[in-house]
Amino acid sequence: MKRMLPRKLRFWLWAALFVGYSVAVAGVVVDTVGENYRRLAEVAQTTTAAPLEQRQLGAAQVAALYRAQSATPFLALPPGNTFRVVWPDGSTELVRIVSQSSPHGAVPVEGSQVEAAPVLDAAQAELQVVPVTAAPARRAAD
Amino acid sequence: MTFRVFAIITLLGVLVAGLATWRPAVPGVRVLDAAADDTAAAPVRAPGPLAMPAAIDAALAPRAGVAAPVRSLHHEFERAPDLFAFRQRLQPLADAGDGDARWMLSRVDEYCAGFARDPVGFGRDSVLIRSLQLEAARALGDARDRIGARCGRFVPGDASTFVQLVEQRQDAAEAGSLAAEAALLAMGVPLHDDLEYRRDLVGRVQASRDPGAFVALAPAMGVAASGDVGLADTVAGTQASELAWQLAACDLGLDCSAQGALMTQYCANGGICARDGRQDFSSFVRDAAVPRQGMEEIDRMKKTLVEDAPASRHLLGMVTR
Repeated sequence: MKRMLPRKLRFWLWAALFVGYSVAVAGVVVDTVGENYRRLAEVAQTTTAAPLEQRQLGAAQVAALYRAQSATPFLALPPGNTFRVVWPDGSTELVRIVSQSSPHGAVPVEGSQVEAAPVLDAAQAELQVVPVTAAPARRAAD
Repeated sequence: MTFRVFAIITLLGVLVAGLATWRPAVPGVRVLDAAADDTAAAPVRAPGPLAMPAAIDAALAPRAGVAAPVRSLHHEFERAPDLFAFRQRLQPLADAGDGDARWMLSRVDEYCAGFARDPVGFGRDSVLIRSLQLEAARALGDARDRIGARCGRFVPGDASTFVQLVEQRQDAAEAGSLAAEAALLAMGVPLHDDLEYRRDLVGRVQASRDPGAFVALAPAMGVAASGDVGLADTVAGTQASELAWQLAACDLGLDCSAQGALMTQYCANGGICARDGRQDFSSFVRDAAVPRQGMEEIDRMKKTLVEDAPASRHLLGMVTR
């Protein structure tokens, strides 16, 4: 095998494999701490502790702005995809897209919420491991 | 030598992963004049027209058939310049138990909810979005302005929550609206949650040839239906099948124009906007959604939905007998 493939070709094959893998595993994270997202009415006051409806509406608006930046908007965050939203206070959660045309088209994934890290003195800080699951969630009426 | 190779590969990987997660900065945020915006989108209900256009009266007149009045209400929903006035005229019919009027009320409430929740914030967001350097900023701003203009008399007390929309649609479905029943399945809260019911509902929607029911069902027939054995032999399970149901609705008479509710909601709620403001949904999907081969597949699915509906088969049977 080594004799069949020249060294340079082998190098580029490995490079292509690694690059492809990197692209495949890279997920979407939308950080609403940024100036533009943070100013949106549905996003400004939203945290993982807000009511479900508010988080749904905020996440759908964040997804809409994300798609509006894309040259292929149908393919950006299509139904079934998940992305992680970072709310303005720093708390985060996974959100699943259920519709690209509904104001309720993004549903927070139950159990994926991570509170904002509190500001602690270095002496008080301790390491806390927060398990995050990404189990699919059916949309419920409440 | 080996170390150099791995160093280069790692560097390349990091570079590509960085590129994959990088989002273009969106500069140019304007400092908003709150007072000016407050005036522009004040949540004060303006006096409405004393009389509705004759066309709407005609739409709400007593009905003789079933499919035609549904389409007529839908047509009026698409055309009404003042959705609050349209809603007021629908309310007595809905109170009297008319399923289609109840369904249409929920459509109006869903369309206007984003504006009604916070009219001032909605206006501010529209100004902010227009000022961003996004691919679709102008189209997105236009779609939001269209909603703002048609829903201008809604106030926060009129805003429906997801739960309220579900309740409205349950009432509408129980009063006989097939579109409302389809929408409930798409919202994840069907009237009955069993395989046979879902299959039967899809068949009834297809047989109805009601564009409103087709477009209401579409989200349930996309990725949400993936793996549903009850829908295995129907057009379901992929994003392409969802688009096929929507395009079939266009063929059956849904307003799929650039100003229509379907394109307005895709743009305002989903950020999926046609760059060409005159494009209808069909040409937009061809342009932006899928490559050519994918479009041929969607066209085949659409043809199946429109031409192979159970009712069509039934009629064909009657003709050939």
